[in-house]
Amino acid sequence: MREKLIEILADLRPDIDFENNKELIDNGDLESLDIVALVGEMNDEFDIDITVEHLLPENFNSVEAMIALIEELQE
Amino acid sequence: MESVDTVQQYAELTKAVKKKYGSYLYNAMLMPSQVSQFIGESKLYYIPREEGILFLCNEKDFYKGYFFIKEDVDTMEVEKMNKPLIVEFVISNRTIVPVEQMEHRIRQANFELYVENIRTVVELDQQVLPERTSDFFITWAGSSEKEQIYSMWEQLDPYDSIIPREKVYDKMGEDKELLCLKRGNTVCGALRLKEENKNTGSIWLVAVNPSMQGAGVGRQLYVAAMEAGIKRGYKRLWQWADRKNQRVLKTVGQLGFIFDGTVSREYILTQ
Repeated sequence: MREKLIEILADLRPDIDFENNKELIDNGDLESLDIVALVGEMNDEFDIDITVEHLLPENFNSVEAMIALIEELQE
Repeated sequence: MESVDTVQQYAELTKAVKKKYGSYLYNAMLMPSQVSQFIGESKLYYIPREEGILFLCNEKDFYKGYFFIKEDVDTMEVEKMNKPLIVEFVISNRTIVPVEQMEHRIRQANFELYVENIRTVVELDQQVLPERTSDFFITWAGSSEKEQIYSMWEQLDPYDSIIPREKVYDKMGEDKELLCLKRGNTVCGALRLKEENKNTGSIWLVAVNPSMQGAGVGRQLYVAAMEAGIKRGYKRLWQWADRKNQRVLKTVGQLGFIFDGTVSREYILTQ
């Protein structure tokens, strides 16, 4: 899952180091436009349903946070 | 038209479209903070449609529309309302295809392009700031500047859509977001400097006193915003400007702002 997620992220923003960046939103590296683009990709790839209530900065601040969101929605 | 009363309700309504059709097209995805703000100002409504749902943000002189519709709809009949309806698309090199498909359908539904804004960004650590003239002093605006600032804002936009309501203005004042250029007791210009994240600020509501147009007030305001941004530790500032507003684009261009590839297109369906 992690590899696939990083692949999606890198495709979207090849300029960002997703492995080491733990403040993607707080630093302004990912912005709301990126999140909207990500949501569709993540929903399709991981068969989940990210909706507006999940579009919170803390859910997208790091790869780990996004994985936690995916796992929560897959349960 | 029914009101949206909670963020959860908004989420459920959009989920219902996806559940019914499997997927949807939309022109913009509102963030929870935006939904909360609209709900807090009692201005978010929805209209169920055969092909999905239309959310309306009820501004003073127009509605801002947010469509969620099934992908295979060929045409959209949009009923005329008692105020113009504006639909916005924000597009960058990271735009996903569904937004473009939605824009195509809006055009087919007889909306016309109303304004195209572009986003410009300045990297603060790469700029040598010009000195500000001593004619003016800079202050964070509060209640004593309110009347003059509102008067300037009212001239900014034909729909008066962007003027913050009283409570929102007061909060901006408390949060030290309203930068003001004054000469004596006269407000010569003002803008809002908003924090996007710890590295980024954004500029909104740039207004110059009509009696001082052409006196370099706008440029001084931007320089002041950049100084304030640097003091706050921002690495960059961005702002939206009408693509056709050459005066503003020239001013900010001279200060190092460059187009970052992000475009906002607003389409309007008039009454």
